[in-house]
Amino acid sequence: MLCERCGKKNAEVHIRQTIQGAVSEHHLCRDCARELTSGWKPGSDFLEFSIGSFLENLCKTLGPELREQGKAAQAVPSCPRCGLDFERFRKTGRFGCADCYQAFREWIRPLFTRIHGSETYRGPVPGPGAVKSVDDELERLKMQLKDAVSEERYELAAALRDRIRILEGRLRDER
Amino acid sequence: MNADQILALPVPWVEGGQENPSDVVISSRVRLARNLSRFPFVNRATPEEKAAVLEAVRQAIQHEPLFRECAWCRIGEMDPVSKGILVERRLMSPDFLQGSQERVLVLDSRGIVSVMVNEEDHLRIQVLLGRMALCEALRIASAIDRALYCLDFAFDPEFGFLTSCPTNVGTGLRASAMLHLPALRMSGAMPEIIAQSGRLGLVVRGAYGEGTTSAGALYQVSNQVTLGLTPEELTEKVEAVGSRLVEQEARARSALLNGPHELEDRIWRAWGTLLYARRLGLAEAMECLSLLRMAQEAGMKGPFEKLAWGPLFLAVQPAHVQARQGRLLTEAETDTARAELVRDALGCLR
Ligand SMILES: [Zn+2]
Ligand SMILES: [Zn+2]
Repeated sequence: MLCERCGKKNAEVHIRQTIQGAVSEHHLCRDCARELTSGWKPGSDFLEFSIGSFLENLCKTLGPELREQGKAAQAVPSCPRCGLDFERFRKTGRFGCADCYQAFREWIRPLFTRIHGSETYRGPVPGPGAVKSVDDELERLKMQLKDAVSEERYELAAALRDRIRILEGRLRDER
Repeated sequence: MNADQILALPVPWVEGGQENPSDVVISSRVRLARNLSRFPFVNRATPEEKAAVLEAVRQAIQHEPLFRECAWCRIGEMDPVSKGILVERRLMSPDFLQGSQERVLVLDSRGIVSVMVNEEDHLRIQVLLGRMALCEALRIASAIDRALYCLDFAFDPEFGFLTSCPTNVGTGLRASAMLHLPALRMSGAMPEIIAQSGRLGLVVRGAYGEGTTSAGALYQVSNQVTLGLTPEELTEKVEAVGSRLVEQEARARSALLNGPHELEDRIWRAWGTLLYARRLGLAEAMECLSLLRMAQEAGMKGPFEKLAWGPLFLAVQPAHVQARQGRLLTEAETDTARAELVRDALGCLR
C-alpha cells in the first residue's frame, strides 16, 4: 500500500486515531509520518493519538496553491447548496452534502488518490428502475420460508425450499 | 425496546458454533454507508431535516418484505443498559448511543441486520454473521441496499456513493472479520502482521482495546480503502487475508502445543481464576476465556471441554452483567457480579 499523503513511497507507519470516540486509521511512509506527527519515532510502527486530526492535516495540503492557503481556499467556490466553504472542509475533513463533491470536484481528486489509491468508483449503480436480482429474490424466499416453518405450514415450506434450491443452483452456474 | 426484549434476540455470531465450536473466525460483518441525496449530511442537517430523513426511511421500510420483522428503536428513549447491550452485541457503534433525538436503530429479529439512521451518515446498513461469511453478509447487505434505492441515495458516477467522510466514499463498504488469534499474539507476530496488512490496503487491529494487544486475543481485519475496487473485490480481499491468518494461527498453535508445558499451565491457571476469583475484571475474564477456547479447539482434556465460549463471552461484558443484576453497577460491583456469574457457569461443568 502506498503512503496516503505523498502517494509515492510505501506506507510503513500505521496510525490509529480517535476523534470523539470514532476510530480511523492512516498509513504513511516514514518521511510523511515524521512531518505530520510529532509523536512518531523511527522504530515504532504503530502510534495512537487522539488530539489533532490527521485527516485535517491531509486536507490542509489540498487546494490550488499550497503557499498561500488562505487566499487559495477563497478561490474555490463554496458549496452552493449547504454553504460549506473549502477552508472549512480542509479544517474538518467532512463534507456537508452531496453537492459539496460537485463544488470541490477538481480539488478532492488528489485527496481520494491519497486515501484510497484511486479516484474512480467501481461498483453497482443505483437507479429507481434497478432490477430486483436473483439475490434479492432468494433473500425474500428465505424470510418467507422461516415464517412458513414457524407457522407450521409445511407444504408451503417445502415448495419454498424447492424454489430456493433452483435459484441457488442457477446462481452457482452463473458464478 | 427494553433490555429484556433485546436480551431475547438471537446473537448468531455467538451461537453460530454449536455443532463445530472450533473456529478462529468468530464473526463477519459488512457495513454500507449511504446518504439521501435530498438532505444535507447529518453533521450539517437541522433537527427537522434529520426527522425528515427518519420519516423517509420509516416509509421505505414499512412495506419492504426484507424489513418485515424489524424493531424501530429510538435511541434517545432507551435506558443506558439496553444501549450498552446493543453495543456489546455489536449491533450499533458506541458513538451512536450519544446523542440526538433523531437517532434510530432498525433491528432485525434474527439479530443479523441492523440499520443506524442518522449516525455519521444518514444510513449505516450492517449485516453481522457468525464465522467467515463475508460474501454472504455482502449479499444480504446488497439486497437491503437495493431495496432502499427508492430513497434516492447520494451517488456520483465518478466518486460512487457519497459519504460525509472522504474515507468512506465510493462503495461505502467496510467488510470486517473478527478473528481469535491467541497463538499469533503469544508468539509476538502481531506487530508484523499489522504492518503488513497496511501495505495491502487492509487494517488489522485489536477488536477490544488498543493497538497490537487486544483483550481476549480478538482482532479485526477490515478494508481500509473504499474507492477503486468493487464491493466484491474488497470483500474477497478481506476474506483472503482472514483465511491466511487462520492458517498462520493454526501453525502457531501447533508449535505452542508441541512446546514445553507452559501453555498447558496457563490454561489451567485460567480455569482456576475463572472458577475461584471473587473479583474479575473484563480484560482478565476475556483473557481466561480466550485460553479455554484455545484448549477446547486443541482437543485438550479437562472440565473446560463443555464450556460454551460465546454465551459466556457476552455475559461477562459490562452491560450484560448489569442487565443480569437489573441495575446500574459501579466498576467494582460489576467485577464482583462478573466473578459470581462466571463461577456459577463453570461450577456446573465440573
Ligand atoms: Zn509519504
Ligand atoms: Zn454542500
